[in-house]
Amino acid sequence: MRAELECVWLDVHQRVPLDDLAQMAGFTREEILELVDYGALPQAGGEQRMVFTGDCVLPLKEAARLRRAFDLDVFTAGLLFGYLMRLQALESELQSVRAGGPRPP
Amino acid sequence: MKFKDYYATLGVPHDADGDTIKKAYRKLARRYHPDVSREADAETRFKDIAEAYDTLKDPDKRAAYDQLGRHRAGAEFEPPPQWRQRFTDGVHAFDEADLADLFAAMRGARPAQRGSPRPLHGRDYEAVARLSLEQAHHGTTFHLDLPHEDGSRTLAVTVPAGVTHGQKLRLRGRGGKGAHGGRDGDIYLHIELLAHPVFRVDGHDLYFDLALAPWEAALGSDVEVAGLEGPLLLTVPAATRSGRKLRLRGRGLANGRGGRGDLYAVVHIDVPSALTPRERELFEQLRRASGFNPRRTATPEAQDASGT
Repeated sequence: MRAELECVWLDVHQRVPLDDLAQMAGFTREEILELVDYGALPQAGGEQRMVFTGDCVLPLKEAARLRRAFDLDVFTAGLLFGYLMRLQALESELQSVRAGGPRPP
Repeated sequence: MKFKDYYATLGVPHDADGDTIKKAYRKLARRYHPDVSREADAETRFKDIAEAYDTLKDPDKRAAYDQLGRHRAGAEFEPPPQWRQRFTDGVHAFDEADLADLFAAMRGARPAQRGSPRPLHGRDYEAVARLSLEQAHHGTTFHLDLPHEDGSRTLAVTVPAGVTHGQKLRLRGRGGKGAHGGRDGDIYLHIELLAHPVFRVDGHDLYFDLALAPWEAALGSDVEVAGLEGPLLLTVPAATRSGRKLRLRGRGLANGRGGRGDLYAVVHIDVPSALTPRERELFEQLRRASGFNPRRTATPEAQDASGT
């Protein structure tokens, strides 16, 4: 069974509307708005409001999973999301550093 | 129906307040969460703890649970007759349900509505796709085995050209089946590129180590190097130092938007492990003739001169 259906790249170039983000990540629409209001979830910018970048999806989904597992409030989930995004960026940076340096013995 | 002692599961007394229950749950959750726990039965224990907490944290569910009275854990017991009328989740018949099913289906003190089960979103899956550089560059189709309610299923997944290490893809609607009008779940693919004997990956750029002889680095040279699709000729400029990165534009990985990253040669200067007499003689001549000191900027005198 071939899976040639919609294959969406979850990267900084992808734009994800609010309702799609809520559905994918496992937050309600209102909770996403709450995260934006806290400043925890940045919008993609540009003319459209309440549109987000694709690289937010999986860290936000993970924050939602931890929220459910440990019965956290939305604010705390937002803090977790911030750290998860930072981890994601650091992993990418580490990959760059390793690639650009000489191969270790 | 077998009784489960939720208070004992969380290690709290029957008169524990909400904060005590929450604290006890979090402590146990942290210990048995599958992400961090090394205990053999962590997943099962975590499921039990979560089930207990889900009931006891909700005042209505807790009140209903307390109505059952106290029984030995695991003992058979009969729920109150009126629960049969209140229970419906559209998935299990009452007689096949266990305690967790009853409370999961409960809608507080209000009677459940018959024939209107909640839409259930299908399960999402996350999987890792380990690809070679060539597969990432050209795109590929591979087979993904996923657990399924009926065992496992195999999906043929086509990954577009231009993926790279660390990238994530969403395959919409290819996860578990939804129920009662709920949407199907998704598959989230994490792309990992397998280590390559020559190239290292940074986004869509590739890096490799280029060893040069001292004369090649000092005088410049044309050298043949390995590219992703075959050998390439690289012009090394004169006075190329160790650590310098020489760029071959557009010879990296496809980026999925019609372009490619770049290929970088990371220079390191190598010397013969043993010199012939003639080589030694020539190097000695060079040492006498050259005023080059690569450590000059590191000496205190040089630092004073430069103002550092």
